[in-house]
Amino acid sequence: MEQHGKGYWSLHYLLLAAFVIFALFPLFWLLKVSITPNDLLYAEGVRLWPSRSTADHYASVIAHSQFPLFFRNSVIVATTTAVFSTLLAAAAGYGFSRFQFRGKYWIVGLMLVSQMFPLVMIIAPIFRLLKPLGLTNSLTGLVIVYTAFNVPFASFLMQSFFDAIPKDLEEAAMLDGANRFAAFRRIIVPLTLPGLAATLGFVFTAAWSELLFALMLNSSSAASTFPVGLLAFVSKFSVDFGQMMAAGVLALLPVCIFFVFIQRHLVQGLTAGAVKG
Amino acid sequence: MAAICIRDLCKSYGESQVLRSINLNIDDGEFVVLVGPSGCGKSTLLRLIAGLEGITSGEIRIGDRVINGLAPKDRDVAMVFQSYALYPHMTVRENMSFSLKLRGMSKVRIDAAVQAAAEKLEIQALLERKPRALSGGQRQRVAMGRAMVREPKAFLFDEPLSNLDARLREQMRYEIRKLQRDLGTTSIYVTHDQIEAMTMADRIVAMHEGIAQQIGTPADLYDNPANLFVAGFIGAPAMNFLDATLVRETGAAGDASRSSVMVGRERLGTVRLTEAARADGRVTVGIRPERIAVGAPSLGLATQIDLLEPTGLGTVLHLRLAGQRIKIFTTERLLAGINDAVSIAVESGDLLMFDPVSGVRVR
Repeated sequence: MEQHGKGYWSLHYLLLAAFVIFALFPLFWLLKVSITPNDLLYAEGVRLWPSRSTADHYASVIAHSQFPLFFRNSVIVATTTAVFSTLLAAAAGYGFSRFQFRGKYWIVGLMLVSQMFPLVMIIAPIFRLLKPLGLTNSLTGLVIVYTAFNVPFASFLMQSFFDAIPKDLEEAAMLDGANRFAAFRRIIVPLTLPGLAATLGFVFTAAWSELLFALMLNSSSAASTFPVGLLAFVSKFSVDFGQMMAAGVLALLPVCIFFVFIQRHLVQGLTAGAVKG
Repeated sequence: MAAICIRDLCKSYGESQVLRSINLNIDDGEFVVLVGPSGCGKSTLLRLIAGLEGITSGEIRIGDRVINGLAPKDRDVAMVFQSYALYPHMTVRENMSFSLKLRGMSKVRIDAAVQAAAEKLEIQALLERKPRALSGGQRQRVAMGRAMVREPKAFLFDEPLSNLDARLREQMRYEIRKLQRDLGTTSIYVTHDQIEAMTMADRIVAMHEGIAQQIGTPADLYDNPANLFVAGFIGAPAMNFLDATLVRETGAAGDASRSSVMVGRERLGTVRLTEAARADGRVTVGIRPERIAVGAPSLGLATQIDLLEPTGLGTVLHLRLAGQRIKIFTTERLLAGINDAVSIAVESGDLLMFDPVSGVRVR
C-alpha cells in the first residue's frame, strides 16, 4: 500500500462529501418540502429547514388520496417485472455466454437495436397491439411491456456475470456427474447471486419509476402506478407540492428497503469480473 | 480402471483441423503424457476424451465401451484442471463429496471416502475450509482428492502444475506419480513441459500441429527421436542441429558403405545409411549437448568458447563450428574461459541424421 499524508485523505474525503451532498440534495429537498406546512411553503423563501413542520401531507396522501392503490399497483408491477425479466435474462445471458449457435450474432444485434429507439416512437404501435388483447388498463399489460423492454439490457448484464465465471467450474461439475442443468443450478447460480441481485435491482428500479407507458397505456386509476399518481397532484390551476413530495418520499421507501437487502451483493456484483481473482 | 483406445480421431473447428488421425492405445494403469507446444492439440485431445467437446470423426473406447456420444457425466473419468476448478462456494469437504452426492451415495459412505482420500493427501485439517483460504499446493491436492474419491476409470490431468512455483511443481510431480502408482488408475496427463513428460510418463505422446509425432517411452523419444520436432522438443539444453553434407568415403582407407558427415570443412564422423539420403547429400545433423566431448586444443575439431553458462550441476558451453552455433553440456569442471581455444569430438554413433526438408529422421 502507498503511504499518503493527512492532507491527501482530507482532500479525498472532502471530495467524496461534496459529491454525496450534490447527489443527495434533491432527496433532502423532497423531504423538506414534504414536511413543510402549505402556508410556509412560499412564505419563508429559501430555507434549509422550515420553522414549523407537519405530517399533514403524509396523512392526507395515505388517507384521502388514491395513492395507496397506486403504490400497491407499482409494487405488483415492479416486482413481477423484476422477477420475470431476471429469470429470462439469466437464461438468455447464460446462452449467450456459454453456447455458440446459429444466428447468435443477429439475435444479439437485434436486441441491441431494440434499445436504440426512443420509446415515444413505439407507444402507438404498442397501444394498438395491446388494446384488442384487452391489455390496456391492466397491470398485466404493463408487466409484459416492461419485461420486453428490460430483458435485452438485463440479458447483457447477466451475460457479463456469467462470462466472469470460469467455464472450468461447470465442466468440472459435468465430469463430476452433473448434467448441464444441474451444473447450472448447483454451481453457476450460487456464484451468480450477486449478478442476479444486481439485475433484479436494476429492473425493479426501472419498472418502479417508469412513467411513459404507465401513463399512455392506462386511463383508469385502478391500473395506474405511482408515477402516474404523482401527476394527479398537478391540477389545472395549482400543484400540491406538499402532498406530491410526501407521496414521493413514500415511493422511495420500497426502493430503499430493496437496496438495503441487496446492496452487499450489488457492490460485489457490479465489480465482479473487473478484477481477476 | 480401464484401457483407453483411440482410433483415427479427428477434430476440426470449421475449416481448421486441430487433430489429424490420432491413434493411441493406453493400457490399463498406464501413465501417458501428451506433450507439445501450445496449440498442438494436446488439450483438445484430452477434452475429447473427457467429452467436453464433440469429436469430428474416429472412435474413443474406455474399457470395452465406445464413448463417442456419451455425456461427460456418463464416461466415468475424473479431470484435474489447470485452474483446479474448485467450487468456490463449497468447503473442501463439499467439493470432494459433490460427485458422490450426485450419485446418491449414502452420507456414511461419502464421509468414509472423503476421509480416506483426505488422509492419503494429508489434507484432513483443510476439510472445512473454502478454496480461497488455501494455498496453490493445497488447492492442487484438493483437486486431486476430488478426482480420487470417485474411483474413476481414468484420471485426466490438464496441465495441473503450471500454476505452481518451480519447487512445489517438483514436489507435486513426485506426489502425483506416487499416488497414481498406488492407485493404479489409467492416467492421461497434458503438459507443455518436457521435463514433466520425461520424469512422469510411462509413455509420451509428442504432439505438434495436431499430429502425434511420436509415441514411446521417455528413453525412446530421447535417444531415438522420429523427427526434428521431437528431437528439438525433448531434452534441455536442446539438441544441436547443424547443416551438414554427406560425402561418400572413397580411397583405400575409406569404407565405401559409409559416408563422412561434413560441417563446412570439418569432418564430424562417419555414418552408414541404409536408405539413401537426399541426392545432394544435404542433411541436418542432431547431436545432444552432453554427447560432445570437449578437451585440449589438440584433441579434435578446433574451436573457441563464445560463452559459458554454469548451472551448478555442470556447464553449458556455447561455441561455433564452421560458423554454426553449438551448445555443449558437461559436468566436468572446466578450466577454460571465454574466448579460450578448445577442441571438440563426437562419437559417430551419437550423430542423428534428419532430412533438412521434411524433418524426418534418416537412418
